[in-house]
Amino acid sequence: MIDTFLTSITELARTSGIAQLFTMDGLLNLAMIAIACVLLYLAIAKQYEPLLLLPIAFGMLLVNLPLGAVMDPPTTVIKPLTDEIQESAQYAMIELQDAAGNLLNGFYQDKNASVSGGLLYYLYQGVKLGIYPPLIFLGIGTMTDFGPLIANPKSFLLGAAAQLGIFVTFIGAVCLGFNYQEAASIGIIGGADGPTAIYTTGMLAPHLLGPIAVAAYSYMALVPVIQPPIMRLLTTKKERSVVMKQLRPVSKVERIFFPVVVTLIVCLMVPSATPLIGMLMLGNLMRESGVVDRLVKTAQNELMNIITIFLGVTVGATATAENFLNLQTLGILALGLCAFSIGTAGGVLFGKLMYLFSGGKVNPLIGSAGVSAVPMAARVSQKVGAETNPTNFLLMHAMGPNVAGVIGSAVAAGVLIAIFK
Amino acid sequence: MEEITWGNTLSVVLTGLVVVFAALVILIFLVWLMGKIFIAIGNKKNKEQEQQKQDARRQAQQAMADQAKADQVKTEQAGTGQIEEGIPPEVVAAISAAVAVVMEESAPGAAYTIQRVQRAGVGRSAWGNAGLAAQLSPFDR
Repeated sequence: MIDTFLTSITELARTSGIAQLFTMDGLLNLAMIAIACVLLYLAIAKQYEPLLLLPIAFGMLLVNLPLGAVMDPPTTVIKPLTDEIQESAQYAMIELQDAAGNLLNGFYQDKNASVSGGLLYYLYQGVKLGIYPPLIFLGIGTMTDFGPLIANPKSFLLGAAAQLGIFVTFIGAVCLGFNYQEAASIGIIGGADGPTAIYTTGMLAPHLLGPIAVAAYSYMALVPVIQPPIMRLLTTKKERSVVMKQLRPVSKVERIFFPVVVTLIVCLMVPSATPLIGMLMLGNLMRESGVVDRLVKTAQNELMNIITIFLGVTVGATATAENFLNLQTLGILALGLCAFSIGTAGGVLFGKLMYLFSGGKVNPLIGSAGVSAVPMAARVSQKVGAETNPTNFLLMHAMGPNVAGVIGSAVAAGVLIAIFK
Repeated sequence: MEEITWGNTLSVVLTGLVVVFAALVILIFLVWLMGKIFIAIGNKKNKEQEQQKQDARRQAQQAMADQAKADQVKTEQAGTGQIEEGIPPEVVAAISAAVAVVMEESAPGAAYTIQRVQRAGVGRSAWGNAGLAAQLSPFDR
């Protein structure tokens, strides 16, 4: 009895995940688990975008547990039909065709040998098929006030200029040896918009989802660190101290018309941006119409929270050791930082142009908010402006380019998807 | 587009930037136009409302002047006994204001005239005192 007991225990230990950790692949898994723990620390202790970084880090942890099989796809085992199986009359007949189209009978699906996929594999289909990011955009739409943009439509230009980072980084990624699809997915990190980056990568280069999501959300959390030095470097004290004219009030009818107009124009011009822009504007129309409060509450709370969990965990679960621990990831992290910095610089430089042409009425600091990252980037504009002139309140002026950046990055993503898909 | 060449890469960048700017410039124009239209409509509405308010104010002033004239005539006809002696003008003003509030709530816009102000009695009956005590001290029980 003791022998049997010891054999069972030994066998269990030998086939457990712990034993697998001490193989070569297991050590790579251990490294990924350590990275996941660092990200968990950043999410919990430093509160870097915790709503997404926490599930992403945990998804990364789960997928790197040996034998956990949470991301394994289902397998179907097909075997030649034997008399014994045929007599049991309990089998699923399979019809196969050869290359010439001739029917090959005599096969069956061995259900005992077939394995259903892991939990996260099924949840991941929402990312792979491009379902979660547009739903997140629906929630964002219900929470976004486009009033400052409607009051000052010129802000759209800053939202467009800040997309410069996407395209310059695209060139950089191509130079580093990434193919066009991968380069486009890396460039979109410069849009500073998580769902857009995930949507584009899911469509063009799904194998890079893990590193791109981690880079995008990490840099978004680091916006207050990355942007201010660039903003100070590119502007003079005189430009930073410009006090802008108060925005006009925006009527309810304008707010209702806005999402409809944006949907019509953008979706007709760039049809591949329809899922993102369409959902964003649907959410906004629900908010501004004021007649579907219950739907608005669901979209911005329950629905968005559920999707955030699914999106975070499954995107994290794409970061297997094989996909993550390579030089490509380092390249993506470096290019992501460039994308953010160039996007910020593009916005600020265009802000300087507007400062010149408006006769000093536009504060160039609001340009940096064009890189989406709502509302963090707008807060950074306010903070840097207040350093020069503590009575200067740029927040509402910066919200215009900030929300224009969301539309701009979705359009840029649409263009890249249309070209490369 | 699979072949990686400088020409292809730059054409993607150019296409992307041009389309993003074009889409957003069209939006600027439409949102600006929308703003102009709605501001113009709003101004027109405001003007009409202002005009209506002015008309209403003029009518109210006219009505008050007519009412004052009619009251003066009535007072002259009825002599000076409309307000009981000993009631100070401040009390009359307070009572008039209270009546105005009640009348506005029950029959908004209705025209009325306070004909007489006089004391209804001195002190309260025992029933009145009991009712008042019950209303004012509901938590003493």
